[in-house]
Amino acid sequence: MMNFNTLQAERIEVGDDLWAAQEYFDEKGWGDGLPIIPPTEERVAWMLAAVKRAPQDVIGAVPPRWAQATVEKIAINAVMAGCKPEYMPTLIACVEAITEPKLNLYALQATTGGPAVMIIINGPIRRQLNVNGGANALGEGWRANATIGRFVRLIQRNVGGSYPGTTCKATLGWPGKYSICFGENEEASPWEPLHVERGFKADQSTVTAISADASIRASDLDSTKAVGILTNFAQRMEGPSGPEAIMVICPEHAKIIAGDGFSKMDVKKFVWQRAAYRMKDLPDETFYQRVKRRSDLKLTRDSVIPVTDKPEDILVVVAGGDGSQSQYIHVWGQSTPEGGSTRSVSKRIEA
Amino acid sequence: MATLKFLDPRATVNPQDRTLAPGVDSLEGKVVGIIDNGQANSTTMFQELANLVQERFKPQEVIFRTKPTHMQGAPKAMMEEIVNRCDAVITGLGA
Repeated sequence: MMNFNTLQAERIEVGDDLWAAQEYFDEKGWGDGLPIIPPTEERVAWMLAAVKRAPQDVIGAVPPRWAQATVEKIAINAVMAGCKPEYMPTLIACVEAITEPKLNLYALQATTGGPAVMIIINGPIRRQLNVNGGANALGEGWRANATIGRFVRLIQRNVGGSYPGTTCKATLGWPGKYSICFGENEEASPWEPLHVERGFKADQSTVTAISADASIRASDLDSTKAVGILTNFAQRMEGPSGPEAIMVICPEHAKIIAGDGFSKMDVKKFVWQRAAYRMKDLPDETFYQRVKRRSDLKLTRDSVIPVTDKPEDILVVVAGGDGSQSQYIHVWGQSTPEGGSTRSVSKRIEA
Repeated sequence: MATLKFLDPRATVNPQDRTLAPGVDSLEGKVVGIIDNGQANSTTMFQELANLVQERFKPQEVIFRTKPTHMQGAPKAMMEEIVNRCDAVITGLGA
């Protein structure tokens, strides 16, 4: 058993009562409003025993305070979230991903837009940890999905210092901020999975962290052809958008789309040619602000801004169970001539 | 009374020692930079501020720069220009 004296975090004591512990965490704002598991020395040591990393190893600096996420702090927040020790390598990969500069977590943490950081998991780890990518993949019921996503938010709060009302200025936020994490349904997908698209081997496991601030159902119970499904999907994606966009395609839709000869890139190109932010009917004030913000595009009233700068910036992942219900997940951020104010990050999960 | 002992989940921040810039006694004859974040009302406000600075303080020059997006820090080239050319800078900090 680990020598608890090597754990550097301050100790706090409350009456030996789970309810008292919850009250304490609520008062301090260290939880997310849901019950937490108190991070006792034994539980934190148990987490740390699952990885070959020193507790004081620094994985990254988390904004807005730029405080250091050590393996010990990761373990503490992991216990609180209800994670199992075998999740630790995945959790460390999540922290590596969210502290990568190109995600721009500083902006995601602070903006009135209030996005979540969504985690997409690929590779064999999904089976090992029972990460759901099938029925109800974006919903509740799977411990890995629920607690890994929740852990990410707790790290943002307790290590980064992003607390709503102070450093976090989210006007509304959305429920994804509690937790949004799922596995790609690679087994049901007719295409290469996300991590393989990004250069990883199929048998490697990865996390992808991406800004996510809304989910819109792309239901289609009518189309039997790819053109129909994708045209309907593109209509869900109209309007202002970020530097990337996420299409979560259910297996039934994916089968039809691929059956008509569409590759993932074909999907992206088809949708990109149709999903747009149209300048025509905008109020004058809004239109002139768009002209100013994207002066590189020289916008007129007849202009349309595609959902992303390039088709390649659309992520296509297959997830879900039976049924004809896909989803579009909107990315908070702004496309800029410099490459965008936030970009998704994929990291390998190392044992 | 039995107690429940647990670990603090927050990270500590080690503040770095920094020296404040010496500042200027007046803006007259100085080069003043203004960094606007590009939001609609921000630009209006900072442009009015630039006019007032010009009128009241008689600087040598006001360098007015607008960030390409409010969602990120100012680009490196813009920061370098401001740092290298200005005696004083006015900008906004959120939260």
